[in-house]
Amino acid sequence: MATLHKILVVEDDPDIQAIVRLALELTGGYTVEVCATGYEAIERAPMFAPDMILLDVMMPGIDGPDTLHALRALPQLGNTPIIFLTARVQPHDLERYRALGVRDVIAKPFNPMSLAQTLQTMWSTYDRATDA
Amino acid sequence: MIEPPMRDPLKDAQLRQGIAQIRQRYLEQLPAMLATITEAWQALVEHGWEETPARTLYQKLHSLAGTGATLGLDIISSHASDWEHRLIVLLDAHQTPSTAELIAMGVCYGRLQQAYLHRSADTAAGDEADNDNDPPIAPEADLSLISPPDATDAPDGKATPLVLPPALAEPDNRRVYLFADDLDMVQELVPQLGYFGYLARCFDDLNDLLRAVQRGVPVAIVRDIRTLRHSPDASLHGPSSTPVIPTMFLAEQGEFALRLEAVRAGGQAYFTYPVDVGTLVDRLDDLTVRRQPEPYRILIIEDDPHAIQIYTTVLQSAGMVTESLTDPLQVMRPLVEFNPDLILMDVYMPGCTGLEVAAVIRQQEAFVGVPIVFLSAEKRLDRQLTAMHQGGDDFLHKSISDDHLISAVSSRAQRSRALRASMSRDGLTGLLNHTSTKEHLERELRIAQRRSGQFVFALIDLDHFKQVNDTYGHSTGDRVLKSLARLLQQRLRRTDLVGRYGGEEFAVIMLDTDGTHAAQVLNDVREKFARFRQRADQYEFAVTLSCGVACYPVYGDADVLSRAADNALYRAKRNGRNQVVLATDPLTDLLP
Repeated sequence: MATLHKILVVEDDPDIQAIVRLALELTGGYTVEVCATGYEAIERAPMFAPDMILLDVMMPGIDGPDTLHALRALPQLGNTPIIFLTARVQPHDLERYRALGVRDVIAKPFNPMSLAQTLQTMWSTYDRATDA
Repeated sequence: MIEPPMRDPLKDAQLRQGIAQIRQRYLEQLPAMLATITEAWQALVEHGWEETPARTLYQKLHSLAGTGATLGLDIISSHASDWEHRLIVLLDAHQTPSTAELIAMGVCYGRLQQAYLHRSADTAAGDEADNDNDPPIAPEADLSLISPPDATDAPDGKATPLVLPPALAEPDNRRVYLFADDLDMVQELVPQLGYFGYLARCFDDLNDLLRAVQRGVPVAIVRDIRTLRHSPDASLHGPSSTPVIPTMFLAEQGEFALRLEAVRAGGQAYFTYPVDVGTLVDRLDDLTVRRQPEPYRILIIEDDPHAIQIYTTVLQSAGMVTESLTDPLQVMRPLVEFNPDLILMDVYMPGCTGLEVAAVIRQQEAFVGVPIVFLSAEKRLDRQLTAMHQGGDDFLHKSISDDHLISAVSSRAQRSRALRASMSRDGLTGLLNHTSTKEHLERELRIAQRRSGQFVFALIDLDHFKQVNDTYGHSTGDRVLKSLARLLQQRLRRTDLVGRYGGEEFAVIMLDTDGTHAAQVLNDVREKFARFRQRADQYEFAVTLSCGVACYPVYGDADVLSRAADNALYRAKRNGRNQVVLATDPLTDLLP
C-alpha cells in the first residue's frame, strides 16, 4: 500500500506558502515542494514526482484549472490526485471543479493545525478506492 | 488503511509558534498592503472605472481575505471578502458599477480601514508607539467622494435622524464635536481638550455638524443645551446595530428642569459653565480608554527542557510572556527582574524540590502574593495537599490539555495581578505608589546594568502646591494632582512608568531613553500642564511644575540616580520653578 510522502504545493501567496509548508512538514512529516506559479509547477513537477498536488485556484498568470490541465497532460502525473485550495466554494464552483477531475477541495481559510491530518485522511480514501 | 498520524503535542506547539511568527510578519506588512488597496481604490474613484485596475484591486483583496482568515484576522478578512465578492460580480459581468454599488464598495473600504485600526490597537501591546503620533485615520476626502449627496439637508430645516454609513459607525477615539449657537461658549475647550489628546472641533450649525459626523464619528458630542430649542431631533443615530453617539450637555445652570431636559434628550453627562475640563476629560476617558492589558508574565521552573518547550509555546500562543529556568537554585534573579504574575513549577527536580523552592519564595515579603502552581505527574491526594500547604496555590496534572493549562494559568495570573495592583497603586491617582516605584527603579536598574542599557529617572514637583490647597481646598488640590497624573499617562509611552512619589511629587521612569530626549518630552508635558486651566468654583488658575531628570548610566545606582534627580529638581526650583533641569555632571550634581 502506497504511503503519502511527497506533496507539491502550488500557491502564489508567500504567507500561505509558509503556513502550508510548515504544517505539512512539521505535523505531517511530508516532503514538500512549493511552487509560486503554475508555470513553475509544470516545470518542476515531473522531477519531483509528487504523490499529491495541492493547487491554488486563483493565481496570476495561469490559474489553477489551466495548471491542472497542463499537469494532467504530463505522462507521470496523469493519475496524481490534485486537490484545490480555494476561497471560492459555492456549490456551482464545486460542480465546476469536479468536472475538471479535482479529487477534493480545501476551502480557504483553512485550519493549519489540522491540514496534514486532512490530507492524510483524503489520501487514505483514494488509496482504498484504488485498491478496490 | 493507514491510520492518521498520532498528534504530537510538541509538534503542534511548534506549529502554533511558527504560525504566530508568520502572523506577526503578516501584521507588519499589513499597513503597506492596505496602502496599496487604498491607492487602487482611490484611483478607481478619481479616474473612473477601468477593468484592469479593478482586477488588480480584486486580487489584492482576494489575497487579504484568504490569508488574513487563515492567520486568524477574521474581521479584516471578512470585510475584504465582502468587497472582493462585489468586485468579482462586476468583473465577471464586465459591468461598470452603479452609484449605489460604488457607495457599497466605499462602505467596504471604510469597514476595512476601521477593522485595521482596531486590529492594530489589539496587536500594539508592548510597542513603542509614541502617544504624540495620531493613529492613522482614513482620509476624509476619498470617503466624501462616495457619500450620498447631502442626505442630511431636510427641506424644512428640521434635522432628520442621520443614518450613518455602517462603515463609519465606529467612533474615532480622539475626536470630539462641540456644538453651540455661540461658538465663544465652547471654543476655549478646544485647546484644553487638546492637552489630553482629544481633537475637538466646534460647530454652530447643525447641518455642518451632521456632515462632519458623516465623515468621521466622534467619540462624543458635547452640546450647549440651548441648541435643543432649534434642533430637538438631532440625536445622532447610527443604523440599528450601532449605538447613538454619546451626547453630553453644557448649561448655564444646574437646575432640575434643565437637567431633566438633558436626560430626555439622551444626555449622558451634564456640565455647567465654566466647564471643568478635568471632569469632562474623565467622562470622555470613560468612553474611550480601553487600555490594552500587559501580557501576563509566567515564570516556568522545570528541569526537563522538552516540557519547558511545550509549556512555553502553549502559553506564548495564548499571548503570555514566559521565562524559564531549569535550575531552581537560580530562581532569585528572574523573580526580581522578570517580576512574574505567576510561577509554574515542577514538583520533582534535582537539587531541591519544587515544594522547597516555594517555601523559599514565600519567606520573602515581596513575593508572598505571587501564585505558585505546581505541575506534576503526582496523582496522590496527600502529596497534592502537602504541596498546597507549602505555599503552592494549585496543583495541575502534567497530562493537562493545552486549553486547560492556558485557562488555569491566565485566570490565576489575572487575580494575582488585580490583587497586587491594589497593593502597589496610589488610591487617588491610580499611579504606582512610592514603594512600588522604588521597586521598579531597582528592577530597571538591574536590567539596564546587565544589558548595558540606559533609562531615565525623573522627579516632578508641583510649584506652590500648598497655596492651591490653602486657597481652594483639598478637593481642588486632589483634582490638580489627578490632572497631572492623567497628563503624564497620556503623554508618556505605555512602557514608561509613572508613580506618585509623595504628596505633590511624581516620579517617572522612562526606559531606553537618554536624558536629553527625556528632558524634551517632560518639558513638553510641563508646557501643556502650565497652559491647562484648573478650576475651583468660579475661579480659574494655572499650576506649574518643576522637574529634575537624571539618566542611567551617567548615574550608576538607584540611590545616586534618585539623588541626582532630586538635586536637579532642587535647581529647577531655585532657578525660578516651572522648568525642567537635566543632571549632567556627576561630580557637582551630587554635592549636597
